[in-house]
Amino acid sequence: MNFNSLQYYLFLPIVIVLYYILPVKLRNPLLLIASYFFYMCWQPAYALLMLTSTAITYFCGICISRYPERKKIWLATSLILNLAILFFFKYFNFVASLITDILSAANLNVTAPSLDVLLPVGISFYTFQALGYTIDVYRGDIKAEKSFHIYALFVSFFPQLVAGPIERSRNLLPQFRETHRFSFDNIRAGMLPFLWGLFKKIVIADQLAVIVNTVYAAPENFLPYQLVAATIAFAFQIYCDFSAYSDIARGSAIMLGFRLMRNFNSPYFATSVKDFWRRWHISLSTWFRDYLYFPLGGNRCSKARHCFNLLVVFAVSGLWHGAALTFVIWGLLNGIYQVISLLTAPIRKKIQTACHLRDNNPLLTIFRYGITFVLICIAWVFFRADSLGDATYILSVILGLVPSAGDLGMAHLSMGLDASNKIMVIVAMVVLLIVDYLGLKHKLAEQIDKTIIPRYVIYFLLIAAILIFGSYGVGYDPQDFVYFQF
Amino acid sequence: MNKKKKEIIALIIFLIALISFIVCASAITTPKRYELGANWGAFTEEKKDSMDVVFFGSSMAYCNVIPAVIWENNGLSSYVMAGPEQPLSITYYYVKEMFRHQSPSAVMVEISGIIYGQYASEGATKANISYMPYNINRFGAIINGAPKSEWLGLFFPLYNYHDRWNKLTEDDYEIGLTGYDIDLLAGYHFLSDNQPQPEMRERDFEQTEEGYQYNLSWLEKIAQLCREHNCRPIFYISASYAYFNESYLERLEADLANIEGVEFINFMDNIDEMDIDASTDFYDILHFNYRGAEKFSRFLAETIDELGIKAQNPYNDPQLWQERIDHYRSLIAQSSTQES
Repeated sequence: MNFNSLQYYLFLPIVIVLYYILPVKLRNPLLLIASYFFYMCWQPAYALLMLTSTAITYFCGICISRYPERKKIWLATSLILNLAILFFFKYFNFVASLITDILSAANLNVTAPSLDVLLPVGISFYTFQALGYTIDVYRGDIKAEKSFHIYALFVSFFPQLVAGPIERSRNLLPQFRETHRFSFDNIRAGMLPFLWGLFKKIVIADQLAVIVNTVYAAPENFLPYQLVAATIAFAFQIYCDFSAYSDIARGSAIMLGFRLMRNFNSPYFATSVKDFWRRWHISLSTWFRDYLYFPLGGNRCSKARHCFNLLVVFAVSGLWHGAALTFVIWGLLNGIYQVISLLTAPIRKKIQTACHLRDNNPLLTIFRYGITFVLICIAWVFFRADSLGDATYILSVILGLVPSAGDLGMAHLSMGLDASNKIMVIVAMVVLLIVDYLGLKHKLAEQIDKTIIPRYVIYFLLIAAILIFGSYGVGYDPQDFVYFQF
Repeated sequence: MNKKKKEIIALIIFLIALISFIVCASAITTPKRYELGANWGAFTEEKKDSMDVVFFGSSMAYCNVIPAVIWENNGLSSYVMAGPEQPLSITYYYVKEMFRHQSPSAVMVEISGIIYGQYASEGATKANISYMPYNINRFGAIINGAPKSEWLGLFFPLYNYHDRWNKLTEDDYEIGLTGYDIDLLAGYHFLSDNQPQPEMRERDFEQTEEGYQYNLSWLEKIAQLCREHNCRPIFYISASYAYFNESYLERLEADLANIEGVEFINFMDNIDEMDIDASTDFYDILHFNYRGAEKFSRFLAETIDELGIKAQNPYNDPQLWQERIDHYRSLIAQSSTQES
């Protein structure tokens, strides 16, 4: 059940109505049933997997709390079992093919066995959320949850189950013990992120997906400028797609009286790659920061170790996204950017001082936005390309290292999208950038929520844009959210 | 005014604006229909209660019946409110919807659709339903005449047509916002091409007993509906060069005879009396071109006369009908010029 499907538009209001009319003690069971129903709409059998992961982390949490002297063992048990499940379903085939390739390079023709299993939707998300809980209990940051159904709800809460935000136990768990009274204010406040998310997904991301899919499916047919355009299109597609999911998740949760963390904060207005990662997929970045980067030593160590820590975290982050070398290189590239940034910081500071440029100089800021965007786009090529070969080809053509085999035939000129739709999507992207820019200095959603007429005008414009320009209906293939595959 | 009141008023205005937008956007983006039947926009522009007879059915109704010729022959005002490949379930809702606007003495249903399956092709279903006024009859036609996979687009036209936003013409805006003009052909679809028919052929179709009974049940409902409106239900099979298997026809006649008040005419029996020329009068084996349709319509006018259905509608507009005759004749003239 996609957020951009009719089923969800029916499912959500039904859940909201039932949630508020049922007695308080029945509300969490309702949400739990609704969450499992929501998940089972994809792959019913894999609900058992989620239940297993839930049971393991719940049981280990209880044991950590009861047997503090053996808490390391229980932490290790939770980590090993959950990561083993994740490895089996997500990484086994990748590792097997890697081993086959390595053996083949050593002239040993041995084929490692591969598994014919579907990747369970959202497995990386709920596994990390559940592991975060175990670590929090282990650290004593929270008490182990005694109620199994509340804990199961924490792992499976449908708005953020499939593609995040990866919630922290100390933020979400206590909310299941709160009594949420029906409030029109909640419905109203949830509508704005919900509609804004749908706008980003249906009007921008799914239109851009047409260009990106067309060009990246056969990059050899396209000219350098088209490869650049498709890469920029992908930068916006993945941002709109993923942040849309988070916004719709937040909006849905708000309507039920829950507060989910903000997952994106104007990432393309980042002034450095480091800043970008503070604004992009914040729930995952902070997860890695708290549960991997800090335990590795963070930046409170030698420069060499600090650089090593950064590379490890970003390589793992790449691997978290997908079981392919392209994702690992994408992650490593982001780590390398930060290592270079760290190593060149003193020189850059000196140049800035010599040029009498203050940190808040507008031109310098715009320059930083631009450089950061270019660097991130280079990394996106690896993220999106179907293979390492395609990624290196695209970058080589863009940089002029190899000649393009593309032509300007009519079939390729449009990149799959007609002129009027291109203009429409560009206008929508400008609107997005304006909103993001304003969001840098203002709490836009809260300010809009306080108004009456502007708020309803915005609702109206968003719905109208979605209905007229959106990718839905006959002749459209509703695109899954990109992050579902992770 | 306190904030709560303001909020409620703003919400009401928002909902009204949103619904108005959806209604207008749906009307504008839905492709405009000028031919091949199912044009409810034009039908509802007709003066209320101004029709003596209304024809229903599929393309064998809107290609073969020329209301202007009927008027010319016996001064009877008629209209063809048929649709492509129309299943009889949708015809029922067409008849029901027609009664909201007209009170004819007789309803004439071309029932070759008795051999059709439960649903038409996707395109035909869209054509048959998308132009019906948005009310309970449209909902009935959707639920009974369209597969579930097509419901969403028929209930919510933007689902089917919103992507036409960059292909809209002035007509789309004008007709979408102000409505259709009267159809000067009164539902008839003018065909001029000629396909000579070498011989009569038996209609080739497969039908289950269940399918036959299902369609028959809709004919019963149509007859019942007509009785409720004091209107004569006349079911007929249009003349064409394709005939029904004799045993099938006998059974159909017998079954129709069991439906209270139904009169049945098989015009295939009279094709020799119509002066039809198989070398010049057909568009294809099932449909006449205007030459054949004119001959058939003249015969139809005589038959209606013989059935005792008289032109008695006080709201007839002779001037409009003369305009219709002139328009029809001008189309023939244009067609003749092109042929020569």
